[in-house]
Amino acid sequence: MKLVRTLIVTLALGLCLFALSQPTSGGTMVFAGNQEPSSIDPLLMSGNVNEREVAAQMFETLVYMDQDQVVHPGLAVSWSSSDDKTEWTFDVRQGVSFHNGDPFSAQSVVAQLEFVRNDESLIGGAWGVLKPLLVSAEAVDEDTVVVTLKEPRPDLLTDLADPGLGITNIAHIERVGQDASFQPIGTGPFKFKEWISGSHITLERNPDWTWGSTVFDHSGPAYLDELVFRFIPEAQTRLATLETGETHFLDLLPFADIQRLYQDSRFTVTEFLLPGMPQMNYLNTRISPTNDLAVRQAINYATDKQAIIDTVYFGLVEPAYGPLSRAFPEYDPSLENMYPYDPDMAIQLLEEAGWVDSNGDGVREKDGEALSVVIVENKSWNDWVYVLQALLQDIGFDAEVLTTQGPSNTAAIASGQYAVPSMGDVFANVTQMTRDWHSDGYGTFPSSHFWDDPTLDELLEDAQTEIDIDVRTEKYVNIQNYIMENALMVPIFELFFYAAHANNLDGFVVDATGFYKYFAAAHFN
Amino acid sequence: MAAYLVKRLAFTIPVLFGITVVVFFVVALIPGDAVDAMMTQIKLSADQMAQLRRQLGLDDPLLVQLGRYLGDLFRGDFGRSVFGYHPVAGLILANLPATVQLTVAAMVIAMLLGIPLGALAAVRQNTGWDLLGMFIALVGISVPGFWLGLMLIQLFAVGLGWLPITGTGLRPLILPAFALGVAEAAILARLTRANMVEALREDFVRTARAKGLNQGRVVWRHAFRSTVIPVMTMLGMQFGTLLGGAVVIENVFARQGLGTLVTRAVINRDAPVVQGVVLVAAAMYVLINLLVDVLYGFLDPRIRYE
Repeated sequence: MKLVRTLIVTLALGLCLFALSQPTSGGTMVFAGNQEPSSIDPLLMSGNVNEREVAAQMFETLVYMDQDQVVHPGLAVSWSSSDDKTEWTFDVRQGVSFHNGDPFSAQSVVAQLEFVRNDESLIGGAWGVLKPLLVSAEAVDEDTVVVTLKEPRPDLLTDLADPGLGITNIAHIERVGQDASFQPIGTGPFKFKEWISGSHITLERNPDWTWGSTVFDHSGPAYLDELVFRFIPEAQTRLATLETGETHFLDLLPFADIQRLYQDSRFTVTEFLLPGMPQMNYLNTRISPTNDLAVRQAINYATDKQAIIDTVYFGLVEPAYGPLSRAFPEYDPSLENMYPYDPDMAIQLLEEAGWVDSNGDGVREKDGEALSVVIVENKSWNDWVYVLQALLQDIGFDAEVLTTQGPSNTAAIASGQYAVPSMGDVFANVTQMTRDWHSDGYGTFPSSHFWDDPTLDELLEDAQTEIDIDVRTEKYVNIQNYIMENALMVPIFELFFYAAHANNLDGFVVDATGFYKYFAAAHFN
Repeated sequence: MAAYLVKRLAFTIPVLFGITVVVFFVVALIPGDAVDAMMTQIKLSADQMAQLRRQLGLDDPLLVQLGRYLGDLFRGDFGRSVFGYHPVAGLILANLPATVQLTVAAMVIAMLLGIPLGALAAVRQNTGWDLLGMFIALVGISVPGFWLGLMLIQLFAVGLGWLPITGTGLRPLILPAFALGVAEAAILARLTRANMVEALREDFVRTARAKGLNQGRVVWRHAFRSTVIPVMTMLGMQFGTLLGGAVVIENVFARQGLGTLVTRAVINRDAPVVQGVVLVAAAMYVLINLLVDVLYGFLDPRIRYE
């Protein structure tokens, strides 16, 4: 009898614990974003991070990629590629339907890819990346799509896992035209409810969604009733809404407040090293004085990264040493010793190259030309520039900071008129190094080193189509060394992405870039 | 009166036309265009940039672009946002009520705080009350709205938890309306005091006192009445300042409104949205001032319009 009672009690306790550990359905989660999206349809988005964040909840991608760079099935359940990586075959998921009830099939994927390939108005945006690559897309049967590319793309799956590359309902887009931008129809865990201009976007649970990817660890439907994306441009206000409980999740935390949030037991702070190109300054080789290798190397030796990190970023980021973040397996750690902080070496290099302060005004000259540089700052993104300015002034530069914002920054950098533009880039696919360094980008953005030697272009083109992973790594190591030996940039720091959320929120999944969250399995405890 | 109104309304047309042209060139003169703004989010090749500029008509001569815009406007078409293709008229209609709500609430707060404060300072002229009232007014004028807004959030939302920061309805309106209205209250207080001090020395006030009326009646029924006209004029003129202040306050409080709309549009060089919002704001300003002029006639029987 006693044994039976013990068994019953144990069983009851076990059931209770099981019930407690099970996520509960219901509730509304509010996400605080810094900017209102312009479009939330993947085909019409401008590519803004806030747009992707919202779209990622309503649209599903063919594949997903988790933080460990593991590829998970999405709307494609399996895939294969030809040996030369130009032909890719995808088997699409069955039993999937769009939010308006239209069925999803291989034909939906074909329609999407053909739209991307043929629609002339589609320029840029998330899908724009694939446009120049596509030769054809064909549905060989109801569930199989064959995609042919112009050139090998070993990392096609990484591209397709971009949360901005969701599969849309082309029939709907053709029906409503550009209005699809704010009337999105996807297949994802949440569907569109309302968009209050200037305030928020509300999504509601899609009760039919039962085909969730393994990346979510939850096949569906979503636990949350509603998901609200509130637009709060002012950083301090954004933070205050988390503290008052009006929002539950926010990213782009102000560095000054991160330590305080770590100590606040109501919130969990997460950090993630962003893959891509670290925060840095290009050194413009087309104009004087940065067309002189000695000057570029001197700038590298004179840059005290640790001082920048400690004073501007409260020690919350780490020094960077080259054009590629250490988040990539292709990262070359040997670069860490190439330019240690050594102002004496910087001075020596400048003197040897003939840059001396002959008139005693504190600024070096050579052949009557002053050692003057302009550092371009994109407001609120490049706060390190003032420390860099002081460091360069210390070794005899006349360094000026030009503050720009948004489009005026793009225009200033593309102009090629400034010696030291600030930059940083986030990408999960190493082949995207091309867009930051290839000469095709001169005069646009961001490529602003203006290196006049085809070797770099050749190295980049060769590496991005290499299909052997080891050989490819070697090629990218070469590129990193080439860039740093020629001192085409000053690496500053590796960008860490800090986000905070209410402690009782659980189950959200972060994508491979660390930037985007999926809320399909998010729930309140 | 009707002829006067028609004449005044007719005058608004060249004013609005002028504003449209000036704003068009101001937006065109800021470095970077909408395509550059897109480049901050996505990398485009030089060819793609050129193609986009062609699609958006940004490669046409400025005068051609202006002509096209005015032509569309004449047909009642405000155009579409360069980003996301939202119809500009729809964006303005969606955001306008929130801005009107905020500015009206700020005006009410300005009147409720400013007029009694000014009157008190005038009645108790050269006493501690006067000094205190004018000191408060000085602080009110000097404090920047965005700073006051952030402080109000820290105190009343984060610290005390009395009021929300975001949302719709009356409660989330209180803090932003206060942040926006305080400077106006200060200006009104100083104006009310100056006019009341003068009015309290007038013969009609002395007569009222001589008749044995109590202080309240003398101050509010007699002295205050004569200050209503300058206060009304000031309120009308300050409407533009409030609209400008709303741009800052809406951003601080993440409120829906023309301010947040136009800020984002300026950052994105989204010319159709900037032009649409400025045109509507200008039209509101002109109409409010016309309304104030018409109200004079009702408030002061000596004023008649021909």
